[in-house]
Amino acid sequence: MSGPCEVLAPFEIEEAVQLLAEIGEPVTVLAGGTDLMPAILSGERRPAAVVLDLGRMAILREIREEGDELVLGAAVTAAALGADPEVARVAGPLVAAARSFGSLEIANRATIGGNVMTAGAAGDLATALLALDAVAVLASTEGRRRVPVFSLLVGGGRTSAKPSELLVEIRLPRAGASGRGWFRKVSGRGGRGWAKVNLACFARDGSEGPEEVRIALGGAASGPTRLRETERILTGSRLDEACLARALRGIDGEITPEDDLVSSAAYRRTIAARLVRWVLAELARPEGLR
Amino acid sequence: MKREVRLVIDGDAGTRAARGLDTLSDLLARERAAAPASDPCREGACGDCVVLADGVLVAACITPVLQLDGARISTFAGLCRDDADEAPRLVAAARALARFADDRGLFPCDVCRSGVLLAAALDASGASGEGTSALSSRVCRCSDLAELPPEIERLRRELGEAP
Repeated sequence: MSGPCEVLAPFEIEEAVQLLAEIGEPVTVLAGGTDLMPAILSGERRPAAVVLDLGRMAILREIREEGDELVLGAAVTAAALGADPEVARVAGPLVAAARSFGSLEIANRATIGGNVMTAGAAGDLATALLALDAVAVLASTEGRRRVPVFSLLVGGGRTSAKPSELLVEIRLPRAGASGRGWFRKVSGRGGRGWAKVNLACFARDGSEGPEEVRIALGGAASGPTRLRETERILTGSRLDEACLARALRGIDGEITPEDDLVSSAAYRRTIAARLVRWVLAELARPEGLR
Repeated sequence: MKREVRLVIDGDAGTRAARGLDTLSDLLARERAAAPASDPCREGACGDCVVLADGVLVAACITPVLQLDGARISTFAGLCRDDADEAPRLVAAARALARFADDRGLFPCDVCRSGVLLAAALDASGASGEGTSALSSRVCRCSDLAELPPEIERLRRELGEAP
């Protein structure tokens, strides 16, 4: 049914990266399987001859604090994120994104690493991570390297990770606790299915308006993106009507939505603008979701 | 290449052979005529094939058996049996909801019955987690699921606070 593949399930990261190096050909990585398995079962995707199952590496399911960062193992599930008080304190939009997952059985299995590495047009956790300025840690036999999630997600369903590298951690700045954040998505199935468009925003307020604003949109290009120009207009501004209107006018030129099975480019363009309008109104209010 | 996987399925412990990415649905269909009752969507979307794996709700149709080595699997039918090996509150909720659904004539076609009722039992027993409703993502095309939330609320009160 699923084709002749060999599933390897190492207990240690070192063992896993050694396998990736030794096999030397593309390997299919299996975390919670919520994206991968439907793709394989429908015939849309064929697994490689070797499947690397992350399920036995307990360290990949850990959430811990380290210095000024909150470290999330790559196999932490959406359900675990949604229930963790420290993640909620530091990364409100990520928790809101995790709680927006379609159903309990999917949230119980879908992982943060899978949501990033699947590199969908609008992964809910991935979009939230962009707004939170998260860093990915990739492991290989050469050691580990840190890559901003923004640089990892290059669009078009691809990532900048090498075939010999395994995503092992997502790191969030704990300074996120001192800002405000928002997440919202538009999808089918009563707002609980695959996002057509999603938006995450993080802002740190200063005396002269926000001193830091990050707005991430999913579904507005071939992968989640940041609205750099809009962010520049808003930063250090008093967020009066003229500023908000200027920011809104710029949106159209900043996004390049595409047609796919989930939604159409035209619909996404309309919805993206409305989500941005919503978050600008939220930003201009003194209190937001943390 | 087949591998041996240790599983307890509704109290029946033993090793099963699994190959590659064979799913739990494949295994259950092979072993048990009873569960899952419906032909799953095979994309984890409909929720009809859900079971508990070590107490965690999973969609059997997209869960590889090899990832479940050593797990205790409970189907909704298993929860309703006298020898069910799950939390007593959950078992009580499952049985009460099965009776309620049958008395009211819910799920005439049976396709979504076990998936919906397992989700409802988790909600009623408080096992879904704070602020989370397993039932909220469920759809039945034949009957009105709006009948379930009041019964879930009633059961929550009857069963008392979750420990």
